[in-house]
Amino acid sequence: MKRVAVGIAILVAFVMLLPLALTISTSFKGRTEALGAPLRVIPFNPTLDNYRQIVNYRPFLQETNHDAVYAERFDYPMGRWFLNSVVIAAAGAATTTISGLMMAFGLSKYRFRLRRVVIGLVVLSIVVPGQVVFVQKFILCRTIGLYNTLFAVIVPNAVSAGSIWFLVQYMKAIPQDFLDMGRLDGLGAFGLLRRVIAPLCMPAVGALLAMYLVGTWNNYLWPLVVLRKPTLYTLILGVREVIVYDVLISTVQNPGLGFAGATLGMAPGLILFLFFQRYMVTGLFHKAGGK
Amino acid sequence: MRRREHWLLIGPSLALYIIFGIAPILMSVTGSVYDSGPFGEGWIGLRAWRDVFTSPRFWTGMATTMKFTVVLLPIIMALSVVLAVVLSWARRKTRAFGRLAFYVPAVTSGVMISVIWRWALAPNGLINHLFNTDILFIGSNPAAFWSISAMVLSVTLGQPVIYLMASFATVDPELYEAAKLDGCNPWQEAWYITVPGILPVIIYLGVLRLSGTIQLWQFPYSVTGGGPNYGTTTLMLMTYQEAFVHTRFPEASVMSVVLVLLVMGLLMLSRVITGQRILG
Repeated sequence: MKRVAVGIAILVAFVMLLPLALTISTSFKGRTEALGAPLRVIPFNPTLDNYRQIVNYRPFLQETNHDAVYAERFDYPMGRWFLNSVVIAAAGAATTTISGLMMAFGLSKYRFRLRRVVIGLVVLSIVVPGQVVFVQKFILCRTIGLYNTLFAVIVPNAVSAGSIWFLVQYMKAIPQDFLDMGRLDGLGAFGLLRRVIAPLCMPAVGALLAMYLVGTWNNYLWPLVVLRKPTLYTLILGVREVIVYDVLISTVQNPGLGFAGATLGMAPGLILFLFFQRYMVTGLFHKAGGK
Repeated sequence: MRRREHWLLIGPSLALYIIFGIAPILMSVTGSVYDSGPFGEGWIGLRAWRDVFTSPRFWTGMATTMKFTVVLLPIIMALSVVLAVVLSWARRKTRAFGRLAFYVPAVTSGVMISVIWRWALAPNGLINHLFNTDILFIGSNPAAFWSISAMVLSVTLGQPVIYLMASFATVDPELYEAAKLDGCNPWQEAWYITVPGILPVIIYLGVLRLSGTIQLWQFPYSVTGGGPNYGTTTLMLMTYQEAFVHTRFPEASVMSVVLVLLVMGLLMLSRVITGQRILG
């Protein structure tokens, strides 16, 4: 009976992967094949034509939302958008790691009067995720002049409440003796952080980075709200704009083209996930076990 | 010197927190009574509150959000527990494959997934073509609701399945020995030993999902656009439209306050009911 149940679960697992597999395979199919044999996972005549077309595509993107009107046409939009996404992800990864380690160190290894208040604030922003108040965050960013710059995505996401919480839990296990020994060697707060705390926290940082990078890459709502200039779009944002407003009109006639775009949009996130998968699972174990 | 060190460590992050994490929550309250936009009228009192609470669309959105929550939460939790238990029976490689397969949709961009679903569910799309049917999955009412629910289900199973499988290791193995001696079948073992043993994890995941389902907006936004006839317009999506389609920021602020209270209230309620501390 166990075998039957496992068999059914694995069947369901295959069904879960089917849409993804079809997307990727359709992106390699020519027009007639994509229309004629939509369910065939291995294409008869694989072709890179769709990719060539979508990468060289010069969309005419017009922005009429919010404040201004932009109408632009520029070469290799996919490349530009990819770079934007990379900049956002890299800057975010660096800042959340550093700010998370600093704040978690301060909260877990120092005792001071306002500590409970600060922890309360961290918990509050886990309970009420920034997404819920995105309209107010947008108004804030517009007021201080971040709107329509990549900083609008990087700066508000430079601290992550979830990361800090996770690191605080993780650092509790670091014995006070280690820190005292560092003190004897004359290390200050930042010396201790760099020489003692950070190296010990590397597994946790790996797990957090994995989740953070995948999450940031796939984030849609916030970039959609604050990046309205087509040259500033992230890859996900740009690809959707192109597929839905430009190519989707013809997706019925040429699904391969749209799906080449979709594959390009989701590939980096998936590659990051597969690459960091090991850390991710370790991190989840810690999280689930440490609860 | 050492007395101030911690503020050097905490200060910069704390400042960013207060500006981008806490201030927006307060701004949602002030923004609902004071319109500060470029075409704002300044102090408007409770007008936006009255407008929102008397608009039938708002209550439809509220009802839709609740409907999604009531339908999705029990299905997601039950299904992920069953899947986690069954996958834990499998051999090592099979188990790893299953875990990966369920997690991949969870780490795939939701917007790209919705592009695929739009194509598959279109009137002349893949599914209608395969089964030779003529169903308006996106354009008719109960069908759109259930299509969105299916999409949400397919991308949210991964996380609880992985967490649950990880938590099984914390159950005392001796209990299983005892169950074997008592002649329990595998399902009974799961129901009487595994599930009670990891109940805190199940509740924690349930609360996370609850909060996530209340914030549902992506699939309605990019697959149905909230339609047909507002049948899939959730509170989050309505807030977005209010602010960025209709540029009515005070009304959007009112909805944000409602969302914040809803999320916080339900978290506290689940804490009271279960007696579990969700965080800390």
